[in-house]
Amino acid sequence: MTRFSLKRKKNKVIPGFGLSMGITISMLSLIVMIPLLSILLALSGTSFNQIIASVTDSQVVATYKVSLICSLIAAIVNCVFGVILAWILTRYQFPCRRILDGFIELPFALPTAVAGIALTTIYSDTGWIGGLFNKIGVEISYTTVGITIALIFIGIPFVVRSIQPVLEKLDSQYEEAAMMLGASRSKIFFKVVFPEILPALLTGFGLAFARGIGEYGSVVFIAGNIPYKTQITPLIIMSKLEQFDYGGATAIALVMIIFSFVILFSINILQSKVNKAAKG
Amino acid sequence: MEQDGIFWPHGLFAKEYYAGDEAKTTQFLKDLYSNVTVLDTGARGSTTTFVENKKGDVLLAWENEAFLSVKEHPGEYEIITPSISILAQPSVAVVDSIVKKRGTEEVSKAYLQYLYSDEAQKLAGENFYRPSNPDILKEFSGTFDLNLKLANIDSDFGGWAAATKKFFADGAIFDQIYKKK
Repeated sequence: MTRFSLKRKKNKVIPGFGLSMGITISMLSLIVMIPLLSILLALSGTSFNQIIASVTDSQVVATYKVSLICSLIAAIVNCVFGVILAWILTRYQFPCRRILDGFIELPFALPTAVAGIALTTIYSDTGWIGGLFNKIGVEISYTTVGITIALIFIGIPFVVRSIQPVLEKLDSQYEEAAMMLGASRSKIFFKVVFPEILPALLTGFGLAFARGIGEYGSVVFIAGNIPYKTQITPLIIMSKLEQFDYGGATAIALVMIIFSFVILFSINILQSKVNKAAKG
Repeated sequence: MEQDGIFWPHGLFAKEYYAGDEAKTTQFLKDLYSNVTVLDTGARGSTTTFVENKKGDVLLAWENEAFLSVKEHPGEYEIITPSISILAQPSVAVVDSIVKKRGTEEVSKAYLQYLYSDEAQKLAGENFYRPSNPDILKEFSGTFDLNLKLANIDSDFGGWAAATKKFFADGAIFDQIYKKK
């Protein structure tokens, strides 16, 4: 019996584990691992003290705050509106639903600089939307609010596209059963539907958050780039590169990689806990 | 409120204006930059922010950017030329090793020489770049303020390496004017 089952495992319907694993490792190495490691190598010419001085400079630390806080707020906002958007797109049939669905991907497709310039113009004090807010004394373009809006823009597809397939597959029998057992509508959502989409929502949140920290193209236009106020970390890296300070730029890049890694890693841990709780 | 994409001309300008008084120069820059609301990543970005998005009261710009803005939006803006400014000259060069490898030496040198021909110098002037040929520059005296005193990186500030170290390196004057008090 044991022998038989072992043999069965080896003979998968589609063979080629060796080949596909080889391709996976080569691709990951060439495109992700080696470039990332080269960042560490680029640091080898820089002394430890220089690295520490670069990454703890007060102006640089201020940019971490701007980048992290704006990305976090943007990711949270995206979670709320992402669930609503995904809900609308999967649960209801209405005219232009497919077109609306296609719009979700636009932030992926659009060159980020184009998005940045468009957002800056619309949200500036003389723009369509910025003008309205200007009347009540709220400035959007060239402030941290503007940065957050740009990050919401680029983060929305991550959240919607993570949740959508889960919502589509979710069997409506659960909701019907809950309703027949007398649960209120809000209770059905929060106790039946929400736990199902939570792991996917966490993935979307993590992706949007991590992407927001690294985003450059769309943000530099709408940020005022004033030190200690509206400078993002990627901008500091760019300006260090322009000053030929490759060591400093790389050191700060490494900090950003660590930020992103910690975010995605903690999301993964959180997710496995959520999954266990859901199964148990 | 002002906004600006280029720091160095003003840093050098102040130095010239205060005849080398370091403390006064830094203070001037601090006062100036405390009013700056947007630092775009490039000069054209600054022009867009100021001219198209109407951000700020004053744009500190390159001469050609200023002229272009006025040309695009006639009657909306006034150009104020300072008494002292700095000569900015992007470099153009034929790189021997590359033109030899590609066999483009002749055409590259011809292009380089053309840039200094009367025809090209006039084209530059028409597009608001100061011609380097003094005779042709005079023909554009209606456009450019020829009384403007122009400081030079090499002769007035000891070259780019020294100027970069003094103004733009980490912890140098530009970082100092933004350090929190």
